[in-house]
Amino acid sequence: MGVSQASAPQSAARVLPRLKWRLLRNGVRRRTGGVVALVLGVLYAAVVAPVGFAAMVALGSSGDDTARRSVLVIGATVVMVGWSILPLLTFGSDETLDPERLAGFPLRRGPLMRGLLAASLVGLVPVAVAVLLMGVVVGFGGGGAVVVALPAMTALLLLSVTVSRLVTSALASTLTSRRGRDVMVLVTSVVVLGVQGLRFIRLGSIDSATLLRIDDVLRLLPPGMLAQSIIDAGAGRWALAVAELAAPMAIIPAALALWAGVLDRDLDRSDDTPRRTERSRLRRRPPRSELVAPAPRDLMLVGSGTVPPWRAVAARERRYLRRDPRRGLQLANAVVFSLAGPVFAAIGYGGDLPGTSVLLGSAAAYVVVLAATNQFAFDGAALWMDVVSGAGVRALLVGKNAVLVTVSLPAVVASSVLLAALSGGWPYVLCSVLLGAGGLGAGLGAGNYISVRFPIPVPERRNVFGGGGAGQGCARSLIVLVCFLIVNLLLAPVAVLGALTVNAGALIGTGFGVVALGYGVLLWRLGTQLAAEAGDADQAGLLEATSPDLAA
Amino acid sequence: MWPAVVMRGLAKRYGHKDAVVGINLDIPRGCFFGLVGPNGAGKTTTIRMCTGLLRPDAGQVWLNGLDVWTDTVSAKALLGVLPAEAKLFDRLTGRELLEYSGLLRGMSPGDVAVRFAEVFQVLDLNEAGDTLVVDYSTGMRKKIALACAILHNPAILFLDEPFESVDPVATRTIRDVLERFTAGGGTVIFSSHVMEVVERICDRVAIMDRGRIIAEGATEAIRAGRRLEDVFVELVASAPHSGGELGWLRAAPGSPPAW
Repeated sequence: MGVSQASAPQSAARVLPRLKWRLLRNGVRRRTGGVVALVLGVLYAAVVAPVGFAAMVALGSSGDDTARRSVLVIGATVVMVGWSILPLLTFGSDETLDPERLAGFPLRRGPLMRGLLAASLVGLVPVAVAVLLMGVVVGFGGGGAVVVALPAMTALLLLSVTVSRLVTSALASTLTSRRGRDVMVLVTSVVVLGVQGLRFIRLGSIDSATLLRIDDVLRLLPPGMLAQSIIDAGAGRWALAVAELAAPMAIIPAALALWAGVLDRDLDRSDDTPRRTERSRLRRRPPRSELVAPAPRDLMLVGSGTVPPWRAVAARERRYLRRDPRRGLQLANAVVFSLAGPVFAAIGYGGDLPGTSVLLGSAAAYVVVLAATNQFAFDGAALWMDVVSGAGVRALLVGKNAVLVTVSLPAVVASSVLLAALSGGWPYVLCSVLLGAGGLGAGLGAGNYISVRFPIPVPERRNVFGGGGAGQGCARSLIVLVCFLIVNLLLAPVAVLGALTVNAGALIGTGFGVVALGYGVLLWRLGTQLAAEAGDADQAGLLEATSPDLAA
Repeated sequence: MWPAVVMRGLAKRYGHKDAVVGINLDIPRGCFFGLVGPNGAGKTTTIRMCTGLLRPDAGQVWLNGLDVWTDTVSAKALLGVLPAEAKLFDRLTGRELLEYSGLLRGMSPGDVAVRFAEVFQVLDLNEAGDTLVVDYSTGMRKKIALACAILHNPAILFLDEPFESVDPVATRTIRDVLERFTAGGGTVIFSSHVMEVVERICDRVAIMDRGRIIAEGATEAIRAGRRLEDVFVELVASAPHSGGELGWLRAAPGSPPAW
């Protein structure tokens, strides 16, 4: 019967990669536009992989030894660090590799680890990276160096995958808690902020000497050492090359052993989320006095009359800015960058800062405006509460806009005043603020319409394995790009008025500012009206777009 | 006078799958109405279409005579909704969430303050008033979502699986609140798998299967002296099993995998 006809059981090492492939494939089938997204992803990988391969081959045959070594050493480090930390920072889509999902199966550790490692290599990005590393082997493997290059790049791939699994498994339990996720959002933002800060401050001034100093440090680390072994093999320093190859390879078993320990802990541990929740609940228990005669607070809502729904939305948004690190940090980043941009640009003028530089302060709301093109994303499935309330999309947008204005308009003022203090261009402050307000209005008007017509969902689950958006990155990026283009086109008249002010002077410029403000108000009203009409006509569609999981 | 809910030709299709196939249903006012059916029968889809959360492909829904999809605002003002696995604005505290829900529905802050004190008391949520909803247990989430649904004193309550994942104490509390609501003239429509609860508290019941209503009427009439669960199983179960299948299940269990 069935038992006698059944094939032999397959090892987890074979089952898990197939599981990942099937989940990715089925995920594409289930999501709206999934096929388009997958095609775009494949096209992207099909471009990046061969271009990377060709670049590595070309670099390998170039005569610039310093460039060869720097690119190889820094590149290898980037591959390993990126592979290790990106799943944490992007709350990636690798749901298939969550060890806790496998805890109920009688899996032995060895096959499980082999299966998880193999599954890590299934996907477009791993294939693209593998092709890139093959380019290194081909490009740098001449003169017999291939005997070192091939194991070195294989070891780099294995080391990257192992360390990635080790890091994600070790942090999995932390990252599945709310506080853990919040901390990770914070870390992500600090990293992004740091990188952007570096870009503003230093990246343009990095010269070859600096690169060499970085290179000297990185080649002492495992991925850099593997890259350096290829360079030394190519130069005929075989003993050194073998030593540099052997040392990182010896680390792989150690990393595997560490990961095995972490997996043992994960697979033996039952989920302690309910206990955590209970502890949290008890910690937050309020004093008895607060339980009697509660009254609405923090809403500026006094009196017995009804309150416009947009004010309730604004109050909710303000609370979310404080409590949801994703939103708070998104806005904080936007404001910081918006402030930093004009200031750094002004510093670029040197010591003799012209008074018209104050006008740069008007751009302080620019990033906030760009972020306003997807305002319903973070509401996600909770948007049903707004939809069933009958409050209308206009109230939701006005409430959200009100909070954005209260945060970004002060940034415009602060930036303008700061630049005036540096340049002495005080007559331009009013003009700058008017231009900034005009741009804010125009941008929010466009953002409101785009938010309703082209909402992009943000994954509900935010642990390291739970994004569920695999294969859709390209399509979403294209939508975002087009939206940004539209916003910039609508902001162009404000920018032109700003440019005209530079030659026209502060007095006429203030007139231009008034015109910009009128333009902004007009565009905001128009955009909000169109958005409200479109949104109210299909609130259910908006809900479905921001929470696709409900549309099963 | 219009019934509380009237559905005519209500239909929804997901891809190639018909989730709901032309439902016609009248639910009288003041009724405690149970919508039961196996998984995937179309209960949740039906409730979402009735509450303005999912646009039907065909058909119409009237609530107290108001078309949900044309008199949207007026119809929604009549409604209280508790979706299955309701995602809430969970970075608000329970107290703030209730405030938000009430104010969004046009209640005055004073009315909100008075009512939520009572609702929290009845639903035994007092000690969780200042806890973020994200830290609530499943049962507490159900209760706070129910509190949001009833705070504005709706005429009709739609509840999707209100008793799922809820402990017996919370179940009793929710049931008491709902019975009080219908005693005051409100209408409750709820879906459930728990036949005992449906049998005990519902005046009327509809059984759904594969997107269709296959039985509807007064609970007593549907039961016809039997247990509702037996009637349900008889109506929706596929071909009976011979008992010959799963023979291997009686063999010695627990042999470890070969790898």
